[in-house]
Amino acid sequence: MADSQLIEIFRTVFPNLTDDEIRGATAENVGAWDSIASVNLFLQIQQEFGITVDFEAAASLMSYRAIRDYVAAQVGQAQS
Amino acid sequence: MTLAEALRITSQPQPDAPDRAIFLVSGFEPLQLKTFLSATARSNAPEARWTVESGAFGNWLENLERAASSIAETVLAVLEWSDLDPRLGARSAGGWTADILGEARRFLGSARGVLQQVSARKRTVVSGPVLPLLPVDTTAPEELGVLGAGLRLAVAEFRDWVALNTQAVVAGPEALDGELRLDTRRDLSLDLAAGHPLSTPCAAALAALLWRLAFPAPRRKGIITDLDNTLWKGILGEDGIDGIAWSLDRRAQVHAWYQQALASFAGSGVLVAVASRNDPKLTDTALRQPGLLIGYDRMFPVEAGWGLKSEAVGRILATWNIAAGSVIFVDDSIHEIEEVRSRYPDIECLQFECGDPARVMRLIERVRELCGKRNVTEEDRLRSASIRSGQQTASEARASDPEAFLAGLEARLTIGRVDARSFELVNKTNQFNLNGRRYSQAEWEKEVGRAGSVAFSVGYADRFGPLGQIGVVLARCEADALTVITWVLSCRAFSRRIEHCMMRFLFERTGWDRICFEFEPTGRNAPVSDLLRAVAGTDPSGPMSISRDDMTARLPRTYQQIEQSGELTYG
Repeated sequence: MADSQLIEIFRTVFPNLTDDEIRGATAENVGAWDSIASVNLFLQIQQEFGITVDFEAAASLMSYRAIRDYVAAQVGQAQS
Repeated sequence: MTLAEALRITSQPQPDAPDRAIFLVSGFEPLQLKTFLSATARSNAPEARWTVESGAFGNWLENLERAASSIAETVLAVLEWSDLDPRLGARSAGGWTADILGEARRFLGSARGVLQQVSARKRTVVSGPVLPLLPVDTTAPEELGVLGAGLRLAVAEFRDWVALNTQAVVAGPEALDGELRLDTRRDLSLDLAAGHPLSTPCAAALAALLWRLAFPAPRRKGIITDLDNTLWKGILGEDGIDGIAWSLDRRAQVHAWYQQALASFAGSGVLVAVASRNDPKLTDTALRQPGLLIGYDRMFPVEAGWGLKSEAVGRILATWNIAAGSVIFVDDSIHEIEEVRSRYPDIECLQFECGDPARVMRLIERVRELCGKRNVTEEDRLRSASIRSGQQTASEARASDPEAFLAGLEARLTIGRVDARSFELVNKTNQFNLNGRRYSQAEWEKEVGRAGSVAFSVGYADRFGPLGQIGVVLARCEADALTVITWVLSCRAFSRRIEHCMMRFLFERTGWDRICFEFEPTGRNAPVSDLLRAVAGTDPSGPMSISRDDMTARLPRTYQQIEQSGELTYG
């Protein structure tokens, strides 16, 4: 899974963040990160990576790193 | 539009421009639907600052009432099954029992009255349900069950009632069927997590549909049709009048569809003309046949000859006095289509593929998409006849002394109150338009109702026939002057000195010695600037005033008899 795809998705939801800021983004340090932003992130992740996101489980993923790890695991599962 | 595109659009700052607002009424959490709607508004109308408001989760009726009292001029009401009864939604566990139908009917009954009130004051669109019903019936999914049938019937009756009894625009039940399968519209995971039951593609498609219904593209005003292998099967010049056909038994049913469609469009005010490479006399005889499904009097003009199709189209456009971009051209020959398109790139060209019934039906649907209108007015019905009579008027005028001709017209102007037709005229007239100002329904009502305003409509008839309502004036009485802020006259009414008569009426009826005109050049309103220049004696470049003395000295003689029907509209 390419980081660049996930960063691009984050950029559409948080257009004011730099790539480095995105890599370190959490729901606590990004003011615009609310539940709607989470939904927008995961809807795009579904489409971009061809995976099905469990929205209720994904609601606890509140950082770029956590989301990146979740997506990588889902993509890996889908491919195996 | 993808979600990423919608998010990019909505994250951009909006221009410093007039505010416009939409109220999205839903019982579910609007989330993506709101994002797509906002992005659609900004993309399609970037000259405004758009706000999309929405109400509280779970109460459709209360949100509709809130929309009624909001400043939004447009209300988009999206109905889903869970609004009829929460047990029809995935987030409820209240049980799927027969009493749901009674609750649904009660809800829909309450919604009727509120929709009637809201749609009387605001542009209103109603859609839905677009989602499939949950498996609430006891029957197998493929079989229609009692509860499902009752719910669908209740919704169908509600939609019909709203379409017939309110001013709301109602989305057809199959509006999304062409682009989205039913089983792709729901996102259960998102519904459970966030209360938004629509899948992303469904939200995008629904937002686009709501926008098209709320702000339809300008309707095409005319259809120019070929004849051979288009209006009828066969080639008139080779097969003769007896050899052309449009019936099932002669394997020409697609041409019957097309003729009856043209007749229907003509009846709703769409102009229909003919451009054909054929002998003019033979064409005239063929078109007068009694069995033709579109009457001869519904087609004008008929351009039959041997020159280029584009030249025939040009003459038709000149007769109609409308732009190529307002017209559809239908021909079976791709060669003719390309020839016309090369000269008039704005014309919508459609190929009549007579060997493929599905494509012919699709063509008819496409014409309906481009020309369809909800309300057919008396002016619509008069349009073709009035253009034909205008031709007769022009023809006689050329042949005689102009003053004698005008005096002999037996012309009558009817001055009356403004109405829905007046609003339509103000918003679609370009050439004789004082300043090009357009109004939303709410803005128009506000201006007409403002204290000190006076508004009137103008109808016209002469010995060649009626033109219906052709002009509108909106003026404001101020301390020291009357100011005309909107003045339009349909181009069908040109060359009859109606505008001169309207100006004279303004001075004589209101008694002011000076009238201001809020003129603005628009690039298309030369007829207005010509009139103002002729009367004022100066070139108009912006708002200007005309004195009674100038009007008396410079306005040419007018011959119309003026009748006033009722009181004018006063604010």
